[in-house]
Amino acid sequence: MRGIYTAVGSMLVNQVHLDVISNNLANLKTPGFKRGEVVNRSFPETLLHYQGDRALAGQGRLSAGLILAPPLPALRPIGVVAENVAVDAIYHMNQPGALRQTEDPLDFAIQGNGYFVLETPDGLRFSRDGHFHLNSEGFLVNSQGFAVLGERGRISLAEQHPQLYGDNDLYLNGQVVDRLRIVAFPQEALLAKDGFNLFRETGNQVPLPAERAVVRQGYLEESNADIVRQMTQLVTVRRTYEAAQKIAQTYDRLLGRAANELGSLR
Amino acid sequence: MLSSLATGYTAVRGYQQIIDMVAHNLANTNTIAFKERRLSFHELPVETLRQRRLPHTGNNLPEPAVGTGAAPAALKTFYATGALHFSGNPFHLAIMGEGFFAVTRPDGSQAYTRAGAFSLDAAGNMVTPGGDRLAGVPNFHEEGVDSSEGTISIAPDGKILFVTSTADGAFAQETLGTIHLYRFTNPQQLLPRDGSTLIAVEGSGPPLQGVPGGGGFGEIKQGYLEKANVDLSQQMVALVLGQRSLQAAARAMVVADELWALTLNVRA
Repeated sequence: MRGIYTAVGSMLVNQVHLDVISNNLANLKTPGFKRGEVVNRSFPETLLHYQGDRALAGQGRLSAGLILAPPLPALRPIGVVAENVAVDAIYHMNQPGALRQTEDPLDFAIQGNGYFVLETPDGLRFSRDGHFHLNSEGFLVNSQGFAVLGERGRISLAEQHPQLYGDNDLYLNGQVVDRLRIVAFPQEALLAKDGFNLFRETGNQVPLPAERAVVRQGYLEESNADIVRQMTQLVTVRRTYEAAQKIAQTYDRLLGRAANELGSLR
Repeated sequence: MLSSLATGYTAVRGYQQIIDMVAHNLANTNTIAFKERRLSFHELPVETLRQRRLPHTGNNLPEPAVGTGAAPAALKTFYATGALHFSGNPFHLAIMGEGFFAVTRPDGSQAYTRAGAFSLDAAGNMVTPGGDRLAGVPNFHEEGVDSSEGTISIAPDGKILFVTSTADGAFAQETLGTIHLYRFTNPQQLLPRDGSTLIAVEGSGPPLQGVPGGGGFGEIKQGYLEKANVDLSQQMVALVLGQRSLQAAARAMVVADELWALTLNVRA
């Protein structure tokens, strides 16, 4: 009867799949969004043995007292089972999204690996979303109002039309203001989503300057979630869930028959 | 399934707003000096599987977490200058570049606009179609200017000249005033008012005055009007993407509903 737990486990895991797909579909138009992907893992597999004869043989020996019992039959393996299934990890896929031209001088996109660095009250956060604007004090900020950091700290731009040249240097009226700080991590899997298109570092890694990242001005990086992939996964989830539900239903019928029909005097 | 429905709801609401925004942009393709609106999204905070009490192995860091949808992050106005088209009306002005005209509203407060479809009202003021006076321009009647005797000329640097021809065939010109332009550190925060005018608020920073054609300000072109900077084909693409994305998100909600029905039917 342990299969009923596996069936229910599969239903719960598919629910997580659906949650992730829904979130990916909600973020088709979110700049710098990285789609989530679920990895399942079954519980450790165990080898089952048939031991019905052994049990009977053992009983025979007990009841027979000193009489020698027949030799125990060898254990007969039936097969392997895994007791249940669970979510092992939800990864965000780091493939870059397509760059879309916006012609807005305060939109930026990173080509290649790397993240913009933002200063938040909770510490540094990292993002691929370069949809920036100037706040009333003239600092370059993201949609949340967090300051975008350059190599010298916050970037102060007095006007709306900075130019980006060379190694991600921001110019204003022909004068260098600062260089956009773009960082990379040796283990990107240790970045966790923090909401609002920000990533948080969870493994005490030191952000390294991203050598090969090129920033494009007037472009935004589109979401890397695509409708086709998500709709296909939606179908898979729908049918897998249905299959697991059928198994749970079968167990329900079996239990019903066991409870009501076994030993009935009819 | 409940959380998937909630996530789907944020998606449908967001894509609906994209469609609303496209409709607004399309409705204003013929509005003078209209600036395209752009909506940007961000992902909503994640919830860990531990918080949701869903099965996970706990083998991997960071903890597996699921996003909860998307929400509009910023409604940006795209301030690129629109195409100028010739109207021939001497009271029509266009700014070729950055800057706003300042206008005085009937209640005496200051507002800003790029829509330069001015006209001369019965009292002799240069006003917007909404009746707001263009700042820096004197009352023409008080100055004794009669437009039948000469022409009003507005130079690229904002100087208003009244040019008359004298008896000996030469031209005489009289300076009546100067139109200044204004800009803001954060024009995204300017508060829209009726009739294409904007109001300065704390978040936009104070208005910075300048002479047209200098210091980053655009030149004034008399007899021209600035068209909307909306790109029709781009809006059509945004409309299709918004609509299809909405359908996909709604489809995920339907599947969540179906899974729920299946769950209720386990006990057949």
